[in-house]
Amino acid sequence: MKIFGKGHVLPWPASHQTILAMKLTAFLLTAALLSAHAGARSQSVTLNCDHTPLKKVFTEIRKQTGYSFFYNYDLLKSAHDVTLSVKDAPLNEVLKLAFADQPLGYVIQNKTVFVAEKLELRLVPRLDTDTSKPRDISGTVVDHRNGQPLDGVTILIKGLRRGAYSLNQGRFTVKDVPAGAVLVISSVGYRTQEIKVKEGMTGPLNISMEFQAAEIGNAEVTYNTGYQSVAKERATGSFVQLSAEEINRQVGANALDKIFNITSGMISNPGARNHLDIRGLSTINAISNPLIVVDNFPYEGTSIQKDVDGVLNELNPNDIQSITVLKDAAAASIWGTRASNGVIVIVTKRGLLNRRPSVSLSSIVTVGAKPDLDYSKTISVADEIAFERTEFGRGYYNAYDDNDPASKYYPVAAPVLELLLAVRRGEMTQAQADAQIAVYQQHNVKDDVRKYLLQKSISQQHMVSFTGGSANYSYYTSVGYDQARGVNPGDANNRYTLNFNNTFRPINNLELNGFVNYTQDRQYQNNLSFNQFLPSGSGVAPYTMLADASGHPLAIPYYYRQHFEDTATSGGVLDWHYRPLSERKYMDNVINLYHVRVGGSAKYTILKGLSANIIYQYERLLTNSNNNQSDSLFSVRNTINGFVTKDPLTGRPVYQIPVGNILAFSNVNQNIWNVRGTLNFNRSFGDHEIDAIAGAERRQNSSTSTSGTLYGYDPSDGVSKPVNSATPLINYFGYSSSIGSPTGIGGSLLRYGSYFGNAAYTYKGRYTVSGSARNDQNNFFGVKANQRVQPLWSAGAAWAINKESFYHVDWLPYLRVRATYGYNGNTPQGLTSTTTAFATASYSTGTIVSPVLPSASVNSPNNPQLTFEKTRIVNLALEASSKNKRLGGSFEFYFKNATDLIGTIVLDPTTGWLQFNSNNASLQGHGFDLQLNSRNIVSKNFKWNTDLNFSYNTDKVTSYHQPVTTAANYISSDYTPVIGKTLNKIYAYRSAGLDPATGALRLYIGGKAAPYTQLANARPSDLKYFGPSIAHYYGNMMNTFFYRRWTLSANIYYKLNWYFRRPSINYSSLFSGFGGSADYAKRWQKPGDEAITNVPALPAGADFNLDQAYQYSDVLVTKGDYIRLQDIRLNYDLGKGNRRWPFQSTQVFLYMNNVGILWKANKYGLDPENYSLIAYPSPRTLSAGVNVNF
Amino acid sequence: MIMRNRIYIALLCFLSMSCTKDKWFDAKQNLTQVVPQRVQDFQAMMDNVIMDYNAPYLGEIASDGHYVTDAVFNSLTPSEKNAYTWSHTNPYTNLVDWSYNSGAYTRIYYTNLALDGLKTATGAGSFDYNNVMGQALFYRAKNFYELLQIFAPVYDSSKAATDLGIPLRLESDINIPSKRASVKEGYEQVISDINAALPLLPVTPQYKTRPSKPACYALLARLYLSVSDYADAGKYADSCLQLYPALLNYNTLNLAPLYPLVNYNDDVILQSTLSVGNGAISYSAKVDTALYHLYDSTDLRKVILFTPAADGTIGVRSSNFSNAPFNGLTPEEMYLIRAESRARLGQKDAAMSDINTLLRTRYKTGTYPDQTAATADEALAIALKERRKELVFSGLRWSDLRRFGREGRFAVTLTRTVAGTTYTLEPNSFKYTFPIPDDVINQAPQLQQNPGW
Repeated sequence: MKIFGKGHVLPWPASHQTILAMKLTAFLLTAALLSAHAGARSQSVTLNCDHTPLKKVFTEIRKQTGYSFFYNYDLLKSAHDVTLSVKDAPLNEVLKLAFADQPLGYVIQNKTVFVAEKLELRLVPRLDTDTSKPRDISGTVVDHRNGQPLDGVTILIKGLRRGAYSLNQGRFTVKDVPAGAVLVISSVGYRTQEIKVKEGMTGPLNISMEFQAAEIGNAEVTYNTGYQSVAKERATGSFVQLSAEEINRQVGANALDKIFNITSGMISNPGARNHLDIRGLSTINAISNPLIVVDNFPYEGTSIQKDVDGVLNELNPNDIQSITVLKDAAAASIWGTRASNGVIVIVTKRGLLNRRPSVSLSSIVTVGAKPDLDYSKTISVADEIAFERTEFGRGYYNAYDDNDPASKYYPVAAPVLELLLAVRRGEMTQAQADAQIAVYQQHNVKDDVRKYLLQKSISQQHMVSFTGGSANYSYYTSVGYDQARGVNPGDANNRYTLNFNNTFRPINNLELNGFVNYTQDRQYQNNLSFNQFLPSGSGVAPYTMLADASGHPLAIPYYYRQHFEDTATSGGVLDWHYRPLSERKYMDNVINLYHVRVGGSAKYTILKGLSANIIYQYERLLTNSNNNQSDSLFSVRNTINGFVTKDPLTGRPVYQIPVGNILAFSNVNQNIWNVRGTLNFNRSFGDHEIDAIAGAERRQNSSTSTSGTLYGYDPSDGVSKPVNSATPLINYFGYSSSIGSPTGIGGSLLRYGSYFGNAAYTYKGRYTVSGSARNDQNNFFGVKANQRVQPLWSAGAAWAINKESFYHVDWLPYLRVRATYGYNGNTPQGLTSTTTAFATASYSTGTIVSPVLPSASVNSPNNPQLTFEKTRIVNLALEASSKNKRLGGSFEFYFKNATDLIGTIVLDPTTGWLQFNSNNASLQGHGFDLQLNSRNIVSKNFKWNTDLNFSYNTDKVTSYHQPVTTAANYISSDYTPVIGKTLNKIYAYRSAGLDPATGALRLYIGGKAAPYTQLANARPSDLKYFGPSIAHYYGNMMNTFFYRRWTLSANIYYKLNWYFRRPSINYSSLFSGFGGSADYAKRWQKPGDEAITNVPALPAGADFNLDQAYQYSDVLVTKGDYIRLQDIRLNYDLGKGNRRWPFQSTQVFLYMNNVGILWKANKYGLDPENYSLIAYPSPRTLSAGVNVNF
Repeated sequence: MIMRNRIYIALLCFLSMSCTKDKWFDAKQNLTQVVPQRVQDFQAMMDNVIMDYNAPYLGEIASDGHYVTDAVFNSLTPSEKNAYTWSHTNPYTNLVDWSYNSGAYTRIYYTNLALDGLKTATGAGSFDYNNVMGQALFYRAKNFYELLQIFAPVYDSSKAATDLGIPLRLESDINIPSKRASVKEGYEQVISDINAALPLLPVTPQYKTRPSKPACYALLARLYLSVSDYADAGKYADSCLQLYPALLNYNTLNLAPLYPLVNYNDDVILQSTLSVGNGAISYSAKVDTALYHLYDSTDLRKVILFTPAADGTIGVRSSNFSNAPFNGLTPEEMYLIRAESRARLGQKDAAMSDINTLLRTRYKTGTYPDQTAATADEALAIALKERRKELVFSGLRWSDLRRFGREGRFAVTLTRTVAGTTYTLEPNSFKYTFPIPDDVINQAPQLQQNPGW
């Protein structure tokens, strides 16, 4: 049946609004096609209606036929009720009847009935001015990517109110097209094009539509601050937004892992104190992690994952819709005293109204290589054995037997030394020892580690989600399962996530939302860390054998001397040997995490533009760890043996800790609630636009913990045995020692409250001013209530220059400047026990007094002047975009001045205190963030985009009262504040080369070359300052290539201008028998070597000063700059469904992470992020995944 | 109208949220953390182990009766090396005995915090309130007294009003600058604190780690002895013994364990131990053989306190349970103070009676014949010899050496040899007053260094 006449003509006059409606319809159509599912059951309908609302009629028809109806909610308000009665009538007939008197029209496409405003059917007047004769034009529309026909594209004659839809394999016919007319071909999701009908044009018109999915996303970008959404074009502050596509491009179980390398102004510094920082540091001693906000409220993660990158471990990244990073005062000041370190706002997915139900499935499997053990250059077996034989020959190790056991002296002796000592004791012949040493010569412990203690890491992520929505209800539901095993066998975890999010509109003006988010994570920590068995200087000798030829675990000297373990074992204690390879099977350490987040909101529109919103969220986190340590484990045997004494009368061993398993358990229970009420006002009056929010909130985070240790534990019946932990006992070695308190309990209660307001005013869409203010209160510090209030404010302005009438730069159609000023605060959470306005005391269970009495320790003296840390930020930004967005981006420059920072003041010791924390320090910083997006090539089949981030940040300590007086202070920690210098920095002793006669290290002390033995005389002025120990320049470059259905992207990441200390030989470790750096082979051995090496000669014995002087000398300071190819992703889009492929969209991808370093400044083959002797470059991982929608 | 009502309702919601009493923010943040303001908080502070251990020990290191091998000497901290050799090697930064590791001034801060806090605490006048206040006063007195023994010159009534003593910190406010009070003011403060504590404290404390009336008398006896006021020393020793006469008979001890003396023995009036440090005293130290030979073979202390090594040197077994030398208050010390006082006041028989009472509990049962003295001086000599033997490693020897030097009568010259270098400490040397550490003077330049250093 044809509704509107012949063919697919739509002969109604199309007003501007109608075109918009059609675009919308087409967009909805596309969306509907992605998720169409129901097969038609019947084409005939039986209906009995008496003044039935049209909507109900649709519902009934849908039930009977499987046809879906698509309409605008408001449109149906104008519909009349329907009265009709049909039996087994064809669908078309029924629809005709139902729409008979309606002000609405409809069109049927692909089993969907689109309802739209009915437009008057009238003849189109001929254009008399045109000399040419109008004619019909037909053609087809296809998708340029794959040539698939496109239905639902509108073809309109420009200037006239008529046109046609493409239907039935993309075909269309436009009637009576005047010559010289322009056809406007549009469809949401595709680039609109115009085609001029040339005179004499005949034959079918073949139109190829260019897909433009990304443009939809860009159409209305809003930044979510956790309090409100701010439209990009009205924002004054500094925001970075990452979409779900950008987050999901990288593979990982934690959302933060996926944005480290692509976020402007954010850097990850593994191992550094400020591990994750946004625009550098704003604090010296307090926590420097940014605040993480998930769905409106701060998210603190479970108690065992306090490290910033672990906080989000219980959030499935596939549930994330977007991540917004708030960088300056205007963006973040709404978070008040928690905003100084920047804020990361995460929004999880929700259903959308008027969305067909859709199901999405995704699966990713990732396999990671084994760590490369050959990366760390450790001493060779031959060098180590030669060293041990020589030093033994010199008598260096005689004391090992001479002082043992009278002085209870049991240093670990390397296996070769143990053999030589056995020969010395006469327990073995030299020949026997030599035979065994010859075996060791052929052995490398790294082979054992590779064979027994390493595996490929494997992780899987699976997720299914359901989403959809009707006119007044929407939902999003997902179920996720993640499973991972690490490189250490026995290290694994399973995570289940469950997510329900529902939105209702029960009555006009009221929107209700409710959600439940549940995560269960089970972690198995039944592994040995492989890197403790490397000859790195703190592990084992390089030839150590972990197993015999047939693979049976061998005892190794590790915690005690093997000779001691052999002899002590015969003295009536439990077997005291340590056999690493037999440990794993006795481990039973499981941590269970449960995390529930439930909440809801109600938004009521009081009058146009003004709404009231109440949000509530309750979170509960349970962390339950159970470590059932078998008495076959070394740690248990060692604990029990450590407290064995001999009965003075019988000589029998007395076990003060009962023989049996030791169960260590802990339970942490966290309860968090939040409530927030806001009034939102958002309205335009002509040229004026106001967007304002004001509100108040409260938050409480309480946690309780219990922990305990049960001795002599029998897992079969749960029975354990008591121990005497009240009084100190005499241990195996004859010293007094206490068995730790078997139970512990803790608890904390954090309360926050604030009032806040934020308003932005825009005039003519060109000028925007914004301001915000916030008052914070909390129960920290124990301060009087009126001193807790902390007002923080910000102000900003933006100017869209391109919208000015005088602006006529065609090639730069978008140009906008922004400026902000304001304050963010920082609550020194990490320091609350020692940084208080009143003197506080901590209770603990006393240890000496019997019976045990409660004991209180004073944490700090009182400081009534204590206040929050404050950071003043000035941000200046320029945004621009060239024509067609071929080149666009932003440049932001900022100054930071952090004052009232908590610093340490040294006190007169007669006050009873050596030092004291107060608001006396300050830090200044500045930097810039540059973001560039370029479309290098845009063609029909091939596109190439480049996105570049380049950031610079530096800081300088401007006041700090704890003086750095000795050279050792500068050296010992890279974080020791030095006034005038950046906080993370590297100082080094100046090497004066090796002594030509002895090969001993010399340092410049007081300007003269002096032997290293005078290290203690080195003064700060003798040190050389290198520069920052974390990168001050960093960023990434992402290149993305599109070819038909293929997408290839690669991310290059770089860090510039920083230093690290590369490891070299540490002779003390070597003398202890734990191996060390392969630099041993490069040591000075004879006069003249000083010309070719910096490695000092072997000293006579362990020499702390030498190791200290060499390790911290300038010869080992190495430039850290690098550029790495972080990852590559190859995506293939199988396209929309057709007969052979039942799914609506399917994507498959391959992803490789940690691809490799492209360039590095150092010549030592070191990855500057992983340079220690137990480190290895992050292993390459390969992921394969599939994502299906239907 | 309806619109206006809607707005009012919305505003009401906000007001109800934002106008909650600020008391909500007074909740304490941490279960185990408090702002001490209740009597029980101050009691818990007084029950902190720091009140009972790490008593100043530099004086004991500097005293005679023990020595260390060169190897052990090298392992000592700089301040211990200085104390052992009566030297002042720059930089003299170690704060041991001051605030470092919960030293004396940390304890004094605790007592001041408690005394300041008690002014506003509820329950004034109750037993618990008085008890805590008495404990705080007692501990402040004890720590001031112990600092005076090391960092202030020996009490000389002719110069005490002008000799510089120690800073007397009497308030918890750390912003008040410290200044050195005179020696006289120092001792007066100690005496007044003890006298203030006396009526507040019970005769029998609940635990031996808490001060009591007998402890007050015992500390007063110790103080008056060190300022050579023997009449008062004897009087207060007697007052103490009236309340706490019980001695520990060493024959009742089990000698099998490594440390036969255990904590809280019957004779302990108040538990207290010296700082252990790196072993200049106690387990790494060797005992002078002359001292060792003062003990008779049937004297149980010879086996309980000492352990001869294979090489003929004498090691320390224990002065009390475990490694930390005991310097608490005992009736044994009171018998010795009363005996010395009686001897010095001419009461030789009464003095010998005290000595005999004590020694009967120290010798194997039946092996101790009561001693008599022909003269008061002989009784004094015996009393001082027994004092030396009974109170070995208790930290009291340093005070004794100081007063003997000032009196001249029993003065000794101490010598030590370390790595071939011999060090000497003459009686009355300025070195009997330890220097104030540089780290203290650096932060508080108004504190004057002791003369000679």
